[in-house]
Order: sequence, then structure tokens, then C-alpha cells
Amino acid sequence: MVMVFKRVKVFLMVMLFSASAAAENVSFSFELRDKGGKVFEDAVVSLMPTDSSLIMPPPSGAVTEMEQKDKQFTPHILVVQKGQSVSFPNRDDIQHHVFSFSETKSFELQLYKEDVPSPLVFDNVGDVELGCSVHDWMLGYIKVVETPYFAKTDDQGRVYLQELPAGEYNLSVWHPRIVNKSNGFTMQVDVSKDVLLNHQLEVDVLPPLLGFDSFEQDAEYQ
Amino acid sequence: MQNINKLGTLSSALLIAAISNSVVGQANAQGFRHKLQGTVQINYVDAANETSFLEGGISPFRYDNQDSNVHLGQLHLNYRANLSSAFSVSVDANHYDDLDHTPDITQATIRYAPLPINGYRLRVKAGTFIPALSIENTKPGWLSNVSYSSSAVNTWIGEELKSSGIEASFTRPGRRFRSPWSWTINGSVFKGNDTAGTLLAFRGWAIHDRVLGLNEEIPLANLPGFNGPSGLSMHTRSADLIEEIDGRWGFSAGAQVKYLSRLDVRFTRYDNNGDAIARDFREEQWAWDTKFNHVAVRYGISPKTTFLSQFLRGTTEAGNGWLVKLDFEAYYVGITHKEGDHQFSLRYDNFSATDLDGTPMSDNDSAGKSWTAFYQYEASDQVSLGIEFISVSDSAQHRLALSGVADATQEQITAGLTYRF
Repeated sequence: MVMVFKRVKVFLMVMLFSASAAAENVSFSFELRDKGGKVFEDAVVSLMPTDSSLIMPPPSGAVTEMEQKDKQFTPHILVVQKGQSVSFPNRDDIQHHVFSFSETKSFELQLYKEDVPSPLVFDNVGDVELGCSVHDWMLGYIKVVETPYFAKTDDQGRVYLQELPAGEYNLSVWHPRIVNKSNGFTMQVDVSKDVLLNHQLEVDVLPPLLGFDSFEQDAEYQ
Repeated sequence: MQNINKLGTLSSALLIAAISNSVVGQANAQGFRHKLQGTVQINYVDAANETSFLEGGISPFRYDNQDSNVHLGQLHLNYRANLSSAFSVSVDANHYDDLDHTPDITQATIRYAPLPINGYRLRVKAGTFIPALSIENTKPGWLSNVSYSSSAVNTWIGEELKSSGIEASFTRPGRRFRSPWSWTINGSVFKGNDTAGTLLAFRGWAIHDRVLGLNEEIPLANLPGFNGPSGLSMHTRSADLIEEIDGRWGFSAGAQVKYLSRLDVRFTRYDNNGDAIARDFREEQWAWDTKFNHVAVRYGISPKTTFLSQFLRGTTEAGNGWLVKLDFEAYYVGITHKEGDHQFSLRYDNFSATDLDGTPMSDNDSAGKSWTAFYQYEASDQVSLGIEFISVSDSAQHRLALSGVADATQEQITAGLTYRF
């Protein structure tokens, strides 16, 4: 009996600790710089809790957009949680033909001008490279993550996540121009209290091939 | 026409038979989709005096002094059907209130453009089309994206180089390979433009936005050579622009290099491989042997401002080079600037044709230059308002023969209201 009581006591203590931990929200600030020390914008930063019970599914019915506008994918990189629906509206007055060969999500959509197709569900974790069969220069990415805790670095290279349940997390940083096998890195971080973290990449970053995208001529009418 | 129709049908059938297996089984591919789109433009024109080439004159403009009024500038319809992921058909038809006032097909193609294969792009089209040379005429219906009227180079390409055949390109898109550089090689084989050169010789260069139909013929000026004892009297008084006479295939081959989307340089060698002694005696049309080199450059000065230029130099001859032989050359430099819903364009054209034949009764020499200024306001996605001013100064021996004066400076102002759907 004593043993049983002890076990119940320990269990209750764990429950109490967990409850207090779950109730406690903290913030996570992160700043990313490239190898040369310049701020790195548009990188995907996600925090995967060690405690999987902290992962909430994406709200049902929510749809996020990956537009085709001025012959570019907008945003250039879209981050979504696994299970999220994504729509691909064509905001241009010309035809686009969006495709992906990525294992994470393989599809194609022929989009006449101003078409808004039915959303697609992204239910596998990984990265998706998007192209347009009409405009060779169009390139976009969808990064599908398991966790609801993610953001992209802003023009100061910063990410600020508020109301994060305190706990242990696996931090992932990803950008298609980071030159290594996984296009990024992961590390464990303790976010049991407010955290401010700076990181400088040790690997190279490819130069951006952006700019002048709207100059791309329409192969269809050539 | 029959030859061309047969050719188009045959090449389309071959293309489908050869490649259809590879398009079956595209994951998540959409099925048949189709769409009709079009352009209607109403122009108010303040025209120049000289008789338009559409009325049997030698003016470079589509309008003349009879036309200073309101006109149907464009009525263009495009029907496009995506048969599968890779195959599509496209048919363009136009209607104008000039020539015989009849709607006509202007281009008709079947296209094969599969998704990239290991990153590389293949694009093939078969049918009747204007060759992919222009960097101005990128709007549906081969309309200019820079002004209303095309440059002299592209006006001629649109008039006389339309043909039936197969055009293919193979591209290494740089961005897929993490490189700022992209390159393309392209080529075509074609028939049905044996008369290419007729307008350059018997009219000269032109600047306009009149897209010509497959069944349209351009009346030629009543040049003294047609009435004299020379072999020119064996030519009918019109130019049939898509006739096949010698049965020989023409070809083109080219290369394109791009840096990002900012710099685009293209070179093309074009040769219609005409048999310069062949004639169609019934139609009184000749086969012209026309060949040229073409260079196009497009450069983004800033994200809003583009520099465009094309240069073309070549030769044409008919009647074994004795009746007509001509060197020709044209180029333009232009700039277009977009500021919100406003677009401003300015272009300088320079063009010449040099008579090298032994027919003194028909001197086909001409040379000139032109300035085009254009402004357009995009009131909405569908509606735009624009105004274009063109001034052409040229010297033409045909004008001397017809009116006693070789030199002329002519201006045309066009105010347009365009609706796209």
C-alpha cells in the first residue's frame, strides 16, 4: 500500500508540475546572421516541442495563400503546419502552370488568368519547390513543419515568438539558399523561460536570384 | 493554302503520335480546360496623307488621309485549350475595318510543353505562326507590349515571316540550377512563306499594328515596273503572304542567353531557303530567297524601366536575283517605363533596303528613320487608354516614281481605348 501511495504522490507531483509548466508562457527571440555577419532574412525558424502534447493541429478550415503575382510566387517562401490547406490564386492577367516534383507534395495546377483553384492539403512534413511551366524564372517554396510554433526571419534577421509553452524544443532553421545537405540546421534549446538567442551560420549562403522577375517574358505567346 | 493546311495537319498528327505516350500518367494533372479571351480597341486617328499600303500605296502606316476618324483598331480573339498537362492548342482570329472587312485566322498552333525534365525545358509548337523573334510583341494576338505600333523590324516579321511548320526550343533555366545564367537553343523548319521579301521590295519597311490574316493579300502600288517590258509585269499586283511555291523547307536556328530575368540576348539565323527561280504562274507570285541574321537585346535598367533593341540584316532575291535583289537592314532602340498604372515608351527606328538587281525600271531603294512616343494608362485590369505619336522620315525611289518626290516626313497620332477580356 505504501508503495502505491508513493507512486500516486509522485504522479500527482508530475501532474502539478506539468500543469504549471503548461500554464506558463514564455517568449523566444532569435536573430540569424550569415557567415559574413549580415542579417539573414526570410529563413524559416520553427520550434518543435519535445513534449508532443504541446502540438496543436492547424485550425480546421483555415486556408493560407501562395499567390502568383507579377510573375513571382508570393510569398517566396511560405511556412505551413502539417495538415494546413494552401490555395494558389493566380493574381496575374496571364496564364500560369504551377508544379512541384517534390516528394513532400507533388502536383500541378494549370491556372488561367485570375483563377482561384481549390486549396491543396499539405499533410507531409518537408519542403516543396514550386515552379511555373510558363515562366521558367518563377521559383517558390513551401516549408511544411510539424509544429505550430514557427516564423520567418524579418528584414533584421529576427524572429519573435510570443506565448510559447515553456519547455524543451528542437530549433530548426531552414532556407533553400543555405549551402548544406539539409539547407539549414537543428539544435536543442531550453525555453523554460524567456530566451534571446543569436546565431551566425558557419556554412555559405548562395546569392539571391531575385529581382527583375516581372521582366520574365511569357513563353506562351512567343 | 491547301499545301499549308496539309502541312499543319500532318505535322500536328506526327507530333501527337510521337509524344502522346509520355504525357499519360502525370500525377494530379488537370484534364481538358479551355478559354476564350480577346482584345477590342477603338482608335481615333489623326493620319498622314500618303496612301496606306492597305490601299495600294507605299505609306508605312495602316491609316491614310481617308482615315482621320474613329476606327476599329483591334478585334482579336484567342481560343486556348489545354488538352493535357503538356498539350495545348491556340487559335487567334482578328477582324479589322479595312481590306476586305472579313474576320480571319491569324495564327493556329498545337503546343507541346511538358513539365521540366531534370530541370530542362522542351517546348515545341506546330501549325501556322509568326516566328518567335520579337521581344515587343508579347501580348496575346502578337500585339506589342511596348506601344501600339511595332518597330519596323517586328512589323515586317509579323507581315512576311508567318509560316507553317515546327518550332522547338530547349532551355536550361538558370534558377533551377542555382545559376543566374539561363540559356536556350531553338530552331524551326517551315514552309509557306516563299513570298517573304515582296513587301520589303515593292513597298519598303512599315510601322503599324495591323496583324495580317492567313487569307489576306496586300495590294501593291502601281509601280512603273509592273507596267513595263521587264519580267516584273509577270508579278500580280498583290502580295500573298503565306504561299508555298517551291516546295522547299526553310529553317531557322538560334540561341538565347539570359542573366537573371534582367538581361536577355538572342541571336537567330533565318533562311526561308527559297528557290529564287520558282514561280506560281497561276497566282503570278514568286518564290523569294530570303535570309537574315537577327539579334535582340532586352535589359532591365531598373525594375520599372526596360531597354529593348533588335537588329536585323539580310538579303532577298527573286527571279534568279536578276529581277529583284535586295539587301535589307533595320534596327530599333527603345525604352519603356512603368510607373504604377502608367506606361511611357520611346523608340527610334532606322531601316533601309538597297536595290542590287538589274531591273532599272524598278528601283527598290528606300531608307528612313522613325520616332515613336507612347503613353498608356491602365484604368483597370480590363480597360486602358493610350496615345501614340509616330514620325517617319524616309526616302523611297518608289515614291519618286509614283509622285515625283522621294523624301517624305509623315506623322500619325493614334488615341486608343482598349478593352481586354
